[in-house]
Amino acid sequence: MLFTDILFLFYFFPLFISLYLLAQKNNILANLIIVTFSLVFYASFGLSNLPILVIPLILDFVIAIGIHRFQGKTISKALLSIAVIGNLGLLAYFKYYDFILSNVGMENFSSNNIITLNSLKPLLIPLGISFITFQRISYIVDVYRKKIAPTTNFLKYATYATLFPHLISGPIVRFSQIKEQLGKRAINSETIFEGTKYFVLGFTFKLLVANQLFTVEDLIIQNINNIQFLESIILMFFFSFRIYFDFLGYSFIAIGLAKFIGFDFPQNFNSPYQSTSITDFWKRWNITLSSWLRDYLYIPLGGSRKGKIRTYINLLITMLLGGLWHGASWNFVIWGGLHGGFLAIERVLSDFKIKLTIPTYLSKILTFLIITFTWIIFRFSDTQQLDLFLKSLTKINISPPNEALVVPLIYSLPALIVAVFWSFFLNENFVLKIKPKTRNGWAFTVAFLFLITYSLLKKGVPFIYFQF
Amino acid sequence: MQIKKSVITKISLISIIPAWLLISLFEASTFILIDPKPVIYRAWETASNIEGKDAYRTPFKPHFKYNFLAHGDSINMLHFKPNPNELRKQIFTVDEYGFRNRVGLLNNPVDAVIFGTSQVAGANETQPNLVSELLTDKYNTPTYNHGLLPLQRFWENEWFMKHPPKYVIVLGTEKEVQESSWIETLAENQAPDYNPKTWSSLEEWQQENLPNSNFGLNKIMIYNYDQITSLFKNYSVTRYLINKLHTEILNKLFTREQLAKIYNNTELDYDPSQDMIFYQPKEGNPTLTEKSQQDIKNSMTVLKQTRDLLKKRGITLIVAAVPTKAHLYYQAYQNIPESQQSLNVLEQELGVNEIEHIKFHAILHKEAAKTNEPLLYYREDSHWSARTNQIVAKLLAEKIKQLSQSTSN
Repeated sequence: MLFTDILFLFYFFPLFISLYLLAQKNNILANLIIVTFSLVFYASFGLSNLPILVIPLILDFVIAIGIHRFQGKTISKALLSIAVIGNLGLLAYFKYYDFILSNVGMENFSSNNIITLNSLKPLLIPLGISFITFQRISYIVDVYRKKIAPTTNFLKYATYATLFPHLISGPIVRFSQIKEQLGKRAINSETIFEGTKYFVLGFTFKLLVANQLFTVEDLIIQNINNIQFLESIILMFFFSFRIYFDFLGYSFIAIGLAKFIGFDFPQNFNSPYQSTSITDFWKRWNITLSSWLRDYLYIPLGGSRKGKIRTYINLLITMLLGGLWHGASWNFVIWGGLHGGFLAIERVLSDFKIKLTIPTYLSKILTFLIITFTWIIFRFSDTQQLDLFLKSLTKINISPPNEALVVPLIYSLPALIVAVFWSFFLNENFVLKIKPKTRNGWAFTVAFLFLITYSLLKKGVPFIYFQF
Repeated sequence: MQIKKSVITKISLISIIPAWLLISLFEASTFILIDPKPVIYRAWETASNIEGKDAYRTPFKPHFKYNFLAHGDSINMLHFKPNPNELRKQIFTVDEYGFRNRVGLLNNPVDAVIFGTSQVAGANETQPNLVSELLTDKYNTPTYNHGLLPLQRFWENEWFMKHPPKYVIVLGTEKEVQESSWIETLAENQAPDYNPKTWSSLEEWQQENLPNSNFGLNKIMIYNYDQITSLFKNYSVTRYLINKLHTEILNKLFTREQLAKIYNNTELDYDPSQDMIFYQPKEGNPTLTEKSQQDIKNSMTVLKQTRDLLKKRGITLIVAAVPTKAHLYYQAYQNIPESQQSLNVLEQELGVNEIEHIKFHAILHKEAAKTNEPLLYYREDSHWSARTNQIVAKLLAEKIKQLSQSTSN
């Protein structure tokens, strides 16, 4: 059930919000409604996924209490290891099992091995497992680091761990960020307006920008065997904007839905395409993931505390694993490696006080071009397609694009203009400036009705980050 | 005044919630408001035996009755609004075994059993216009429509073992016969968006999104839950009405020619000079190629085996291959020399291999040239028309008469 599906828009969320608003004054009942609906939401992607969500959730709840109880003792460390290895093991099993076997020349092993759990293993990766795992680990590690005290209220923990607005694709919310809200939430006309604002903007970005850009991208990919230089350029930029607005749209929708029920999720973007360097980019793109990687991977690896060389290596490892986190495919590893490489180079330049004096606008353009190029590697899990794309880039010619592309290109122009304008001249803080006024309230409701209508006319395009 | 203003502001800020609930209530009325029977994509799909699954495959729901208007299967894809003359009355019943025949037809042995794809099963036509019905009523040759199910199922059927018909008719387009696709009937389905109650998008959705939904421990629960969630995803009164409105507006703003360009579809070609939609015209290309020669060769092997097998039960095989729509009406294929048309070779080969068959090539070319007569294929449908059914039935009746005379002699 995607946020843009009929099932979600017309049945799931209206029923949920009706019950929730009726029960909101009773926090236990309100949390119970959230957990129940979140489980139904998750099960809509396949009922068999439910145990994968629920069983580790119960174990993590118990282990976190154990870690806290035996704080400072060996058993606490052992419990931490069990929880981290268990969660990562689950992720590895579902996401990387076949990838690892196929890369060690044992691709047939998985189908023939009668001892493994293969017969029980779904061939589909449980949705959101990457985000869910990272969130769980952050909870366990924060308890171990004494940053938070674990909750002994299972319902509160279950609410935190299953909260459907961000369950599948983030933002990755730390327990400390919503701890207070798990106990008490205030809902009033202003919070509902805030929710409306984010939800409608997110829906707009997804439906009218990302999905529209996708039509062109999809047509080019369908004809990849005959891809020409100009089409490659179009593909590169269209995908770059698409992934931004797809994910930004999703994040806004998640933030908006959470606001409807009184939760404040952290922002996930801060004008990433206005970054002046790759280091800057990773402070602005998928902020909750990049800060997770920093706090739970880069710093435990030693961060910058163990000398310069080790810092560069740590950056590279963090980004390689960050790439692999996106999917069991070499293109993600290469993409992560490239970013890690750029981060390390920028670190070297900074460490050795080498300052390139280029105007800010030029560094922004350069950074955007590098990011855009690396997105293409991210886009193609099929190496043959990537090869065709790269070859077409080397054969510079200005022959017009495929005739079939002309009409979709014209249709996509408004989406492209919005994408360019938002990316380079506005930023996510702009949303904060939209105040709860009468005019704005009506405008967003009318926009919402228009978007719902529009969404019914078009075939849905899944969110890119749903697959991770 | 100040209080009033603040109340209005508050209402405006939360207005999304009542708006959302109202539209949802309206949407929840889908099951009451929308009837499956108005103008839809393929009328016969509503006769599906398992709703949402195998919507286009026989056997259908036994004793199912249908009596409404339907339009051609290509029209939705280009967002054309059907003209009044493109809405055809469809009346049919499904017999006690799930096939489109009158109830009780198999109370007595029949003379013939007819096989084929959707053309035979009756995707395009009302019941009295089906070849099986025409043979039964007009030509006094009781014929059972076994359309869509493979011949193998007939061969294994106990009733037909005890009461074998005199003739088994394999009817299809030249391409279907060439490629022997009637053996494994593959009726390609297109997810409808015009009326949600046709359900047939469900299977497509499941294949795309839940290809392995049957794995795991609680197979039945998983399957049902997934099916319910998918069902809601594809079933919407709002979508139905919006689509109708959208089509209305588009057809007011644009001509069909413009719409065909806007909704450029690789599978379809619209010819404005004839106001005709061609579905997969390249597939219907009548030109003799290396592939079609090989197909004909393979088809002959299959047909000869089938003929010999049927003979063991005293059944005569009759093959009827009708020229494709592209063959008869697609401008690009109008000047292909006779010797390079694969249907000529197919008919020749059927003769050489002593397989009883009807020669449609010359006859239907002549019929297609008659401008004062209805078309042999519907303009906005991939299927042939009632007129073609009449011609096919007449020629089949003549063939059967000729065969029965030669047997009695």
